[in-house]
Amino acid sequence: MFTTICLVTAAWSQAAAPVSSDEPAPVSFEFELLPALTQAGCNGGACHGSPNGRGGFAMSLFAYDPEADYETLVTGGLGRRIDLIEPGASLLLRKPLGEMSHGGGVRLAEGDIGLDIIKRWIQEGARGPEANGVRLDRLEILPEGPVLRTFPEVEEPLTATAYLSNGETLDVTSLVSWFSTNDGIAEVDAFGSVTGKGRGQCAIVARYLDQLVSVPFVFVQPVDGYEWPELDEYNFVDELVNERLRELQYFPMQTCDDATFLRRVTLDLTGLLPEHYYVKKFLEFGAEDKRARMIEQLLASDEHAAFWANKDADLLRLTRANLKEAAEPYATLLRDSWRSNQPYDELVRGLLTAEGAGAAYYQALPDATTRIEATTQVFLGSRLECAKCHNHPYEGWTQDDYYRIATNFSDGVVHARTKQGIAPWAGETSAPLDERRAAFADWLTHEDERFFARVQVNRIWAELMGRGIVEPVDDFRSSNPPSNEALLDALAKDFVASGYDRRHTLRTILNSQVYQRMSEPRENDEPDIELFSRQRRRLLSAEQISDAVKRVASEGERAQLIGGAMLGRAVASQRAREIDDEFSDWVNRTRASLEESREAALGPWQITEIFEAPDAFEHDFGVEEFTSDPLGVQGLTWTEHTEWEDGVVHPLKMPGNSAVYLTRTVRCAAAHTLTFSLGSDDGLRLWVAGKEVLTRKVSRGAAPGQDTVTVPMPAGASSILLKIWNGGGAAGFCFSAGEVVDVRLMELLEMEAGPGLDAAQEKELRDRHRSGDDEWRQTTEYLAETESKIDRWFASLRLVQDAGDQKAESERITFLRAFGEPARATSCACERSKEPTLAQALQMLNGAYVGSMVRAAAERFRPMRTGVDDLYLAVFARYPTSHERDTVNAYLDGGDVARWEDLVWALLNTQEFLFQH
Amino acid sequence: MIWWLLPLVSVSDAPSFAADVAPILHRRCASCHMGDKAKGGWSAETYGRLTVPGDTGETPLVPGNPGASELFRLMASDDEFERMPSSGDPVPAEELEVLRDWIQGGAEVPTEQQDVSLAELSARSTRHAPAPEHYAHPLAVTALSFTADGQRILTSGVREVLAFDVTSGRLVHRYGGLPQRIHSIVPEGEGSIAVAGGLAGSAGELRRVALGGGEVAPAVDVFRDLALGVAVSSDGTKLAACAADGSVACYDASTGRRLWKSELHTDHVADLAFTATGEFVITASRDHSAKVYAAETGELWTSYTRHTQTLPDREMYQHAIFAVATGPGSDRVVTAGEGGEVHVWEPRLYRAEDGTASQMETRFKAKSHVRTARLSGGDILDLAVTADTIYAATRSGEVVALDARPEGGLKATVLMSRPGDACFSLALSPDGERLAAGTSSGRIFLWDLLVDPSKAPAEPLLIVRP
Repeated sequence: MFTTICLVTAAWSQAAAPVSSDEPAPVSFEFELLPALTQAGCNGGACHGSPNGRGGFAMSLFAYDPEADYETLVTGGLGRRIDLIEPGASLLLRKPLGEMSHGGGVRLAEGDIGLDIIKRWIQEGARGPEANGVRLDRLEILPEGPVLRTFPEVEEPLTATAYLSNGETLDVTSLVSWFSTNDGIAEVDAFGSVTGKGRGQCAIVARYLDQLVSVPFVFVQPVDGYEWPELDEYNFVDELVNERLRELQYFPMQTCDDATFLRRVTLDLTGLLPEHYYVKKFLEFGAEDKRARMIEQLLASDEHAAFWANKDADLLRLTRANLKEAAEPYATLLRDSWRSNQPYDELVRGLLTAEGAGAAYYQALPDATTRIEATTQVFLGSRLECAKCHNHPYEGWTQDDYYRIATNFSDGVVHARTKQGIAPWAGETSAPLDERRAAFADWLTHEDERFFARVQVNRIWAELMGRGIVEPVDDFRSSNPPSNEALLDALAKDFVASGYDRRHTLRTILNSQVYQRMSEPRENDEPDIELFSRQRRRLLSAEQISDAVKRVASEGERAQLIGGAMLGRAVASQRAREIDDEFSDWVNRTRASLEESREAALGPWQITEIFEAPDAFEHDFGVEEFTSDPLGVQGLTWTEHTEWEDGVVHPLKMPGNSAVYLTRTVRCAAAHTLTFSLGSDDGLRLWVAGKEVLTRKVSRGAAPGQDTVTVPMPAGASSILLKIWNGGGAAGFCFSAGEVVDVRLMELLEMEAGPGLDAAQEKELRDRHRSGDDEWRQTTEYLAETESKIDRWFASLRLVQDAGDQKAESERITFLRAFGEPARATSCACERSKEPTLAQALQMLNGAYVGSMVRAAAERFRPMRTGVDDLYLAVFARYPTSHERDTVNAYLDGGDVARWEDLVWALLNTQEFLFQH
Repeated sequence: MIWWLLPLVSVSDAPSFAADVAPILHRRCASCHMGDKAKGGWSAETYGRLTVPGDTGETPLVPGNPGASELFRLMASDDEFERMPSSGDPVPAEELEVLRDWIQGGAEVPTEQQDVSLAELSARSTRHAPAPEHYAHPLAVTALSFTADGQRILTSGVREVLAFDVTSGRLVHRYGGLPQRIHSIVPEGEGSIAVAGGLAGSAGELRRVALGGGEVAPAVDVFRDLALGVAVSSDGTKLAACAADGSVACYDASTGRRLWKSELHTDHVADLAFTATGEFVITASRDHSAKVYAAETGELWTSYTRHTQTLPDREMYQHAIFAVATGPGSDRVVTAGEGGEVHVWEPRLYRAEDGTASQMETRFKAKSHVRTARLSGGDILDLAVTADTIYAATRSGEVVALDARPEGGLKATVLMSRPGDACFSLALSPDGERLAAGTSSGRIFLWDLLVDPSKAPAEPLLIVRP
């Protein structure tokens, strides 16, 4: 029995014995023990690092809170986890060594450095975190990379060095947690030794405490007889993509034919199939630069603006349910932004600072949490939600960063760990919310080059190429490096240099040979996954398929509507020109008539809080010195009441001996007198344009017309200040002043005379003028109706996702949802599902929507002289081959319309139709 | 290698069923002949079961005649096709000898052991390795008690209980033969103590140790995880223990016979106590509840759930309960644990006012008799109570006195603060004049409550490091 014990004791003391004659430094809790636990997987998110831990044992995720971890290990579980006298009896060793049942299985084995560290730490008395405040400044991995290796020489040792805040450095090569982003390409062992496994590129990532560093690796497998083919390069995109392909010895594909290009680019830019007579024209057109010209034409189209605004609407969660009546203006803003090719930084700034219809940005994201998470995911391409509760496990975002950014977007943000407020990510702590939002917008769009432009060009690239240079497109992090860093950088730089011109970036990519490559894989070649040697075949999106099916069925009807709209537009603009000749006369006339009248325009009421004092009627609560500009008084909170109508008694909730102030503006086109009629409960005082004009200290119930006063008014805007005093009981007031004119009209006219009108205001004033003309008004109404019909009939895009239209269009909506139209519940690009599903197959094979379209298309093409050719052009944007033509004609010969339906159905269910290639 | 658990093989010439036979049968038979799918229709779960013939119909055990006992015959057989165990090595000769001697001697089994599982009987007979002679580090004081005469302080050791002189702090005796960790010690009259402990995550034991020394008796009971608490009723007739496997059990103090066992808790049961009248056993559990059991029957009388608050309009929390103390002289119960929460309540009043539907909680809470306090020092790990004062020990290294008088409002006075040195245990001397506290750095501090209890002792009385 004693022998056993002595042996074991000896084994322990051997582990503790110094390797050299020098006494080894004691194990550091923060810099050695915790990394060892991380390396063994103890504090990972699926195990004891999860919020509730496992088996009652919870540590901080990847050791972000050393003090708490120390307490948990040493005094938690009533001290059962550590045995200082007999370290081997510690649960912290017996569990991971598999000496007893452990949900996480065996995590350590004899010989592991981690095991030695844990043993030594316990033997040395389980020392706690050092109180000297030394922190980890940075982790350095050498070589930094990118590392290029050619088979069979594909081994590379990496070293990791930790730089501490006190100037010390530690070799932590065997303490960091190493992992590969793609084990099929390279593996890394616990000592940082990398071995290539396959051809391609990946990153080796090292985690040490809160630091994460990655090293890009490229492994080249020489391909027999590899030779770079002759190939056009149109711009820098081609050069940078090809450089990578050459390096890794992949073959690039040649340029696709015109028909494929036209179908591809039309679908990508407008979401629609090219119209079949258009295809004919394009194929026959002989110009050298016809592709570039087609790109320009499509970029300028309204369909393009709508289709791409729809992508924005997905990410920004534009739904009727979220936004109510703000939905339409928001949709318009997004579509107009594409239509006018607004600089992207300007658009985003408008959203983040809640400018005009952009205020809907925050309305769609109701709480602080969604605001920060959506904003960072959409514009920073980073998923920050993890950092809400702990440091982000795969990225440099810390919990502090999360709450700092949150502070930029909301008031009253409280850090989850410190339970206190925190300085904002950008701007000053003391700044009001508006300024903090603006400060974040400045930082995002202009101060930090790591995110904004790169994220946006990557999104555009992914839409055109079927895969991001960083994929997923909203998961930028060092452990998910871009597949072609130089390309991403160049595109971002070009985007910034163009003034954040999204159309410019689209144009650059679309005109590259890379975009115009064939999608067929080369024979006997293992295709690359992320280097863009060819176009990707992509299942059409929900809206694309839905519209494509519809277009095959009923293109003629659309042409008719478009013709009508064009005519309407021409008539309306002709008439507008005629009317506009009268514009300045009309302005002068209107102004003169307003000046002649003795009318005034009144702004909405604003009311203060209630003040109490024994002499509230006489007492100045800090307002009465500023009666000409009450809204300018510091420290007062005014609440607007647009719903208070004039001439009606409005009850106020006031205690006895209290007073309240109300104010509104009154505008007069010219100086004249104005009569005010008031009622109050109890007393009132009235100031107009800074002068007290009425004082009534009475006790009464309010009724209209109790007091009247006539006051000379200056031209322009003045303030009315009304003080209502309540001696006791109920309180309220009643107010009216002459007749009220069109306030907005008066404002516009004032601006026209004074500072001038901007474009929108000018249009508003002109439209007021034009609407006086019956012909113009009717034409405009017809035009709006026709355009909305075109939208409704053909565009499956639902910029505003509306619950209301589901009944009317339930077949189409079911179809759209089956093909992955997102519900816009998240800000993730992944919400739009690109996976093929059984529901899709059922929809295409015998869904109600496709059924009705097949019948319509059969009716449409059957009577045509070249019906088969036209049908092929409509469906595939190409002519049938002679073999196809013969087969089809043989089938149709002598048959009825059912044969045509069969044909349409068969064509719609081909991969060639359903995929973009 | 689990070397701190050494099974007892043989000590005396007349084999005892519990100590000698049960471990062999359990070791050799249990893997196949257990539970519903016992092979051959024969079960070796308990003595009672193993005497029932299996599918062959042969009598397993014929007292006085090993050769006629099918059980023994199959184990001793030379024919490897019929020999048991059917897989693995034959039973060693020395073990067969023990079995033969026992059957020859009449195969006697005390009545109270006949329906106890062989697993449990063999675990109780575990003989532990001796304690280490010297400790490399001071040992955290997870258990602390005064002896009944108040002359000595008993503390947890490694596989032992250590006795120190209360005035000099000198180590005066070491009681070995105990399990790896000791989590609770209580005196049972002048001559003996009851000790709860075990090996974390693997086994728990309740043992009784004679203070005069001598042979270590088999465990009173065993558990699947650490035994964390033991208590004696004030009249000395009952003993109760609780464990990290969620179980609570009560024993007849004179015979050691188990009266009842309950496994209603879903997590560690950290502590337990009898109420002053001996009517109830109160437990404290990491599952956020304190349970009230009828001491006689083990019937669950009520569950105290106020350490958890899940009302949506208030702060929501679920707090583990680590300590419970009772009396003296009244039905009063004090529970404490996570969040520094201390609750003072009485089982009868609580059950009367406790509704069943959770939404009624607000209404009942408004007029509840429960008095609560929340200490700023965080989790409370142990309690000691006098009629007027509640002493609490915290994870942050504080010892706090709360004024428990009706007018005292549970006002807290910090008696000691040692940040970073968790205070695991508290003990009051039997005369109530002295308070002892034990910390994770192995220090024991002593207060003379008659002099000035509000001052912290500058120096520890002793450091547990033999």
